[in-house]
Amino acid sequence: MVFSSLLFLFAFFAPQILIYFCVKPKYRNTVLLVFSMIFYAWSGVKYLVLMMFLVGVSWFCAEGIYYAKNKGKTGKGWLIADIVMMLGVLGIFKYTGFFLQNLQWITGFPKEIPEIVLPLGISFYTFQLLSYVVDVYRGTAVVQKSYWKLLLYAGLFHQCVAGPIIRYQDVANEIEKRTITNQDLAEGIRRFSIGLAKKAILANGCAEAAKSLLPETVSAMAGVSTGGLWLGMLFYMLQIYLDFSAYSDMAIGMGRMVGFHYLENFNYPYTAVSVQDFWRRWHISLSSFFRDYVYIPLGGSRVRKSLWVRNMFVVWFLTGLWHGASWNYIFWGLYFLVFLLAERPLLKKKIPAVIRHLVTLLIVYFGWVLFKFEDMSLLGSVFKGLFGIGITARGVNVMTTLVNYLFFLIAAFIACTPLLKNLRAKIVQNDAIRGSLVWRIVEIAIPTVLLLLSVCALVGNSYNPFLYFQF
Amino acid sequence: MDNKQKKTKNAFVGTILLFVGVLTLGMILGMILPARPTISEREKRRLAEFPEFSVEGMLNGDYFQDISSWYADTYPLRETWLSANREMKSLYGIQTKQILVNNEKKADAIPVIPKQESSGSAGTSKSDSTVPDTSNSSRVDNSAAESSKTGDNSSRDTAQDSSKQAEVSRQDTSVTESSKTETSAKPEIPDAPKEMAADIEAQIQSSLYVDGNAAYSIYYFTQEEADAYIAMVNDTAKRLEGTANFYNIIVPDSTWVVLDDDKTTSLGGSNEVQAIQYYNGMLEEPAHFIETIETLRSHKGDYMYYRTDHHWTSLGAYYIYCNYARAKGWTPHALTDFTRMDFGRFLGTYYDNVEADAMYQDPDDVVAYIPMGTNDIRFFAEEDNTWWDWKVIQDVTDWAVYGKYNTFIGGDNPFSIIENPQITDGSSCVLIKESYGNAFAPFLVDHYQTTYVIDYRYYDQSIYDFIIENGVQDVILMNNIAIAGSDYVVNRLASLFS
Repeated sequence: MVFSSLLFLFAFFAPQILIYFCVKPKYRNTVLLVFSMIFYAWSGVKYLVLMMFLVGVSWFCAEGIYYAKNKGKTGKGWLIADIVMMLGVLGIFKYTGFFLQNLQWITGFPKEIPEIVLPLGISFYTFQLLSYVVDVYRGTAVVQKSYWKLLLYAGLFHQCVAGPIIRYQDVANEIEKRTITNQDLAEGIRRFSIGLAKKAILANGCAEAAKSLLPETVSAMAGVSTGGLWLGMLFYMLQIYLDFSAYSDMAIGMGRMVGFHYLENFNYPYTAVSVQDFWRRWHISLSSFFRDYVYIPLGGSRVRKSLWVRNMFVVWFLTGLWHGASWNYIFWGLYFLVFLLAERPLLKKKIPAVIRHLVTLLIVYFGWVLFKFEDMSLLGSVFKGLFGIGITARGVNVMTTLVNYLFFLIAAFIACTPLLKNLRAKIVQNDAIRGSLVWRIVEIAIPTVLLLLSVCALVGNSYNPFLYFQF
Repeated sequence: MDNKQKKTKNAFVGTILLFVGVLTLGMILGMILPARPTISEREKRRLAEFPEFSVEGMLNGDYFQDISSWYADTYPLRETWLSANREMKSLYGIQTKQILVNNEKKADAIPVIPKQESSGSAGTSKSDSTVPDTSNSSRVDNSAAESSKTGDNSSRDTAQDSSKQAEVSRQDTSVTESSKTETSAKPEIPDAPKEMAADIEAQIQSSLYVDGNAAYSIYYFTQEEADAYIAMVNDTAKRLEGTANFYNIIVPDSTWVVLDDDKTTSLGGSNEVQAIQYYNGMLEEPAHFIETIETLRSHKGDYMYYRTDHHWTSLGAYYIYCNYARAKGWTPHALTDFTRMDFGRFLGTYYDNVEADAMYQDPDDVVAYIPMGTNDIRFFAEEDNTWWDWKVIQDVTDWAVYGKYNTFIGGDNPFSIIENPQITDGSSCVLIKESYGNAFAPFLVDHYQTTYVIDYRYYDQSIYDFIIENGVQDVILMNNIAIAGSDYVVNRLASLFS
């Protein structure tokens, strides 16, 4: 089930929210858990079984650590067991095909590569479970005695399938007890509806435009122009941010509605002024996961330079690999490594913010080219094509697409910036406006208007996958 | 609590009540099963059905995925939501022109063939363009025709066992004609033709240039398919030599007829003038061709093609009928000889595809000409396995605005027969066609005692045997150029002619 679907909105989320507020507070976790299990089972009952099993493993290992610690031991064996299990299962489902492909390429063996379906959200919930067990081991999180509450943490439909990657200690208290004010509920609704509209209208619109401009096969390069590639990649760049951040918006909003406060996952990454800045703003929960569980344990930056470079390499290799079992994702991670290392001496230099910003955007832009094309020969052709090499077609459709999407593009650009958010903050500071009837009506109506517009877009839209579902 | 704080709190409550209220309404609306549409007139398709349960589907998620599709696809007030979405999309930018490019396409260079006899005649050197030989008239009365009279719908094996084959375009006719049996609402194309229809769809619809209220298909020539098609025609014509005359008619898209050549060239794709010259030029005796594109281009400015649909109009078909008549040595009937019907607003397949508002505002107009000899046609409909008595030109004034091309010969049916009582010379022809032939068929009626129409996409008996058994004198194969470039079509025709 995807958030941006009619079934989710009207047949799942609406009853969930109604029932949630109708039952006594002590049953609310049960309501969330039951709905979460239905939500997850929707992707296939067998995958639900797998998830429940992995939660069981982590629950058990954390218990093991807890009892070991009570006996004065470290419980390291339990930790290793859990890590092996989580990464092992993730590896089998996500990377077997990739590994065998490379093996086949090198040795000619095996002849056939099995097709393994990636269980929904496995990259996200295994990481959540890992962070839980590691934190229990480190003593930064208290062990959860109830399997069902741990299942609720890992399987809560808000974030279980596409993030943000929530840390157990961030929600541990709220799983036990949470208070919900009208403000929470209203802010949650606002956030959810913004995310929904961002996805259903803006991200899907960008996807459509990008699809019409970008080639899907090498032979299709014959029909694309240089301008078309540039514009297509621009749409893709907008799409991937709007799509992914929309999902986080919806997750955060739905969490807020029922009293969970998830940390922000994006902070307007396209306003970044350096590559480092970009990664502090993009998919924050993933970057901080790698920071806390890989980079710092390896020694972080407080080591010899050569070791530091190794640490950086490991983190960025893994960041790339996490995004997909294909070389292009690994190159994409390492591509950022190169720029992170290269820009380091420049960060302290006085370079105008505009230039920093533009250069960063350009680096990110080319990063998305790497990210977009899994087929290496197509990737090569597109790269060359962006510079006019090997392009034969004339770009009649570029101007027309641009004109057709002019206002849409402006709206998408604005959605990538904090402009509206800041504007609203300004308005709210002004007592006269804030108190006015018009403003209050606008405030009340916006979430519902966004909901209705999104429904219109969803009824007519066939192209609607969340990009990050593949991870 | 001061007044300001109170107002803010009220705003929170207002937000919650309105949003949750609308969400609840959406939930209730979604539960009203009878309000769910089952077909979409506008999209000309059957909407998703509630899936059948299977344990495997439940385990791997397919079953639930199908439920999601069903829920969204048949959500009540679908058309209203879609219209609202169109309105919203029209604000995305300045909607004047747009182009949709199917990037998969690659074209081959078209070999230059010395142009054959120009202007509107068949390959004249071999044209035995006399009036049909009526001596050859020991025409076996078509048992199908008889059986239909008695209501027995099974005697002719023509289409018996293919009862699963429905065709797309007639059903939307019945959408409005709900009284007309349950043939309505079956726009699902079954297995075999589905592939082919998809192929054809891909050929015509995938690369479109849209200019305001009109769309144009961009054509891509492929050598291999063209040669296969030509070989199929040459071979069939040879095998029919002495039995029947074989006429091949390749109809261009609107693109190279309506637009200026400069514009068309800039769109990419292949030159249809050269391509049709190639198809015609490669034909060998005794196959004949009927010239099309030069004739149509000489009438530039006339309303020969729909703007919102990939078909041609009666007028376009009429000009080519004139060429055919001349090739046969007849004087073509004047348009004024026919009763002209105007069925009004029409939004066709291009509109479905691009939903351009300019098209919606300025739709096409369907005009048709009723044959003088008869307006009666009998056709075999696959979906209910019965014969229908219908009209060559059906009054579609009140039909859905999306289905009006179905005025012609009842749409696409595997087999149709038109008997002209004014002609008793035993003459007959068979038009073997896809949907382009529909607008052409009515003009043949006044020249033959019997006009057979076969839609080769849905007909699955030997056409060759049919021609021999029924003593058909003239065989006309009519295809749009993009369709003639589909290897599926070539293979199917080759097997039907074997």
